[in-house]
Amino acid sequence: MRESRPSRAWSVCILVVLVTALALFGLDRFGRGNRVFGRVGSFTGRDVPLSEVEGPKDAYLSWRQAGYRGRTLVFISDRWETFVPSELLPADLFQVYPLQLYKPAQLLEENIDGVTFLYIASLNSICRGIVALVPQSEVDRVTEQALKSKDYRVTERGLYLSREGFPRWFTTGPRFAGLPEPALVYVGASYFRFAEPEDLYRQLSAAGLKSDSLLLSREAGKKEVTSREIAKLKRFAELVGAAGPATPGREPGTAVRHD
Amino acid sequence: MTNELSQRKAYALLALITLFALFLDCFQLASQPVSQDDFYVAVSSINYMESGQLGPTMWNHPGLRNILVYGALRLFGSGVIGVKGVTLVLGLFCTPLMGLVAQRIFKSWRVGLIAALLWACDALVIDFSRQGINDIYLAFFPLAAIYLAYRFRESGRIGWLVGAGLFFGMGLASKWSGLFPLVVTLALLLADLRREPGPGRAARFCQTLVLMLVLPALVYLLTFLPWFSRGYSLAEWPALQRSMYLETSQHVGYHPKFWDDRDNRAYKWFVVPSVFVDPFMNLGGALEPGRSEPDFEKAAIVELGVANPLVWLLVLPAMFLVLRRAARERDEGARYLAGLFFLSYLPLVASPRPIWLNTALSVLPYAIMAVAYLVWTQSQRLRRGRVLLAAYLSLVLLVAAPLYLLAVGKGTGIPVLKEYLAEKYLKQFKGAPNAGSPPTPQAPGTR
Repeated sequence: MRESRPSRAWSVCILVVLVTALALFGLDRFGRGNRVFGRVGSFTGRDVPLSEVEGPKDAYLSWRQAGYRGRTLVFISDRWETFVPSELLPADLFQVYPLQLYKPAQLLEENIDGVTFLYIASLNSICRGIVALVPQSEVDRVTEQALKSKDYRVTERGLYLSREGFPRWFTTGPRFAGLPEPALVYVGASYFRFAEPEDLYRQLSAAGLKSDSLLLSREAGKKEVTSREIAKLKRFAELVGAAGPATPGREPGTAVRHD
Repeated sequence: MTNELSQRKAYALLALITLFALFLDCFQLASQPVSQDDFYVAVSSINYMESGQLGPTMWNHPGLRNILVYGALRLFGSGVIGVKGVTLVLGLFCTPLMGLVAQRIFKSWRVGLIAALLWACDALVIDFSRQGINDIYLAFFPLAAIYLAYRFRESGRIGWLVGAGLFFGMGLASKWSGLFPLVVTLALLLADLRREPGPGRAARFCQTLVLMLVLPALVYLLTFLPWFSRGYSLAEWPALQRSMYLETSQHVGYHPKFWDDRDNRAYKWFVVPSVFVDPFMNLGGALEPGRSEPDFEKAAIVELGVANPLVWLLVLPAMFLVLRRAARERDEGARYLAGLFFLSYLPLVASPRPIWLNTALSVLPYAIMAVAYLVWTQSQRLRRGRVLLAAYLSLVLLVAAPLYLLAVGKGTGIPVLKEYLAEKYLKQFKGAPNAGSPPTPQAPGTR
């Protein structure tokens, strides 16, 4: 074997290590740079951009239209719905070449409802992680199901349960510890079957949550939601203070508040 | 009889065997019905490259397959070349690589050529060279990397080692079991350095470590670029790897199987005849004009990757022979091959989860090289060895012929076998009101 010169060998080492370090740095920058934020406000500052929507489908369309991407989504509702995504994909047993292929993220948009909208938001890269704030009984139910899955952790803060590598956390309002970045927040009226708006507002404020989009969903069509829950949703809106519609941008907090 | 073949003649024979492999891998490929795996491999590649999302199929494996298949789909469309072109090419190139690597390990072209021939006609190899899924990658990338590592050892040219690192990285980015041959090859290269004292050894030691560890890790990491495009940071990447690891280490299948699925233990592969079962329905060619109900018999396809018993059952005796040579003669090639085989195979044997026969493709190159060595050395010891060797190889080909039909899904075209296979593997579809929808597992917490 012909020996390579030591200086050349060292050069190769330095070059590969440098390229690797650059790649690590570049991938991190690339990932973070793909997040799209709007004008950010805080619950304590009462300047979170807020909108009201009829239901989950409108919420999804609102995020999509605004162009949010790569975000953490805080989902607040009375229940965490589950379904089998493959049931929504077309029958694949009639395939002949050339294959009739599809992009799942686009195809499933035809099936948006209160059950599927978060999954479709994740497929379309609107969110890269979900924090579900649900009643304790719901956390317990999901935890029981999680015991059958492979990637879960139960901590005092709640439950971590991934699906095919997609991170999801389940917790309650009192245990919510906030997030290190501004989140998209969805509040369904049904949550107020079990909680008071003042409590939720206090919990989100205490956690220091920041957001560039707070969607208050009347969850029209959900039979558990009555005028009582809608009234509580309005009270919650008053507590938060309407700060106007969200404006997406590349970085958090770059836009000024719209009064 | 022991005189070695000339290089030119050996290359010509290897080219012939490769042409034979090309024929076996391509014969009537376009008319082979589309399987669910093929279909979802294509959909998963779109999902990964356009949405950065792993899945819907085999989400727990790294994403190189998605990248390559997506590239092929963009280049060639969604026809058979777009969907299966990558595996077809990689599967095909395994054949000459088998010859080239075995020749270097045993310093014998005859062993190399026998290994290439046994590989080319193996039903499991053919089965997975004709499918979109990536098990054949685990044979190709390590073989290519090992070949390049040998070229580096022969010439000292750094470019070969860079190539080896890149190919090992691609092996890792296909499935994590690509790590095993990397570790053994690294040990081989470091052992070289140990024998070569002199100034600059530390530099060459570091160079080897960097090119065989850091470079493959870099390739692996870069294949996650589409995932990062979803907004993830580097700090979030280990959580994904953890999820993938937990799924892979506890994997029991993506769908429940409706047949006797106990043949999934790696220790059996080389002890009893083994088979990889891949039954599916494709109603595309079964709906005739004027008929509303598909013809079940036409739609039922069962592809069987049956291990050729004349080869597979010789693996353990062959490894014994290789080990004996490694111990008695301190033969470097035998030691290296034993390391490749046992480090690739024993973790699968020890695994508590089911390991189906498709995974054997990550071990099979080394197993077949050992068998080639066994039959060649034993034929040399016998008086009429050349005749016996020819008889053995003819017998292997004879057995391989019906196994080939089973591997390419033509078994269901044989009258008696058709009924047996459909009854054994596809009876859950028969008479079902909605034959187009396979039973779906109710996975909780899907969102």
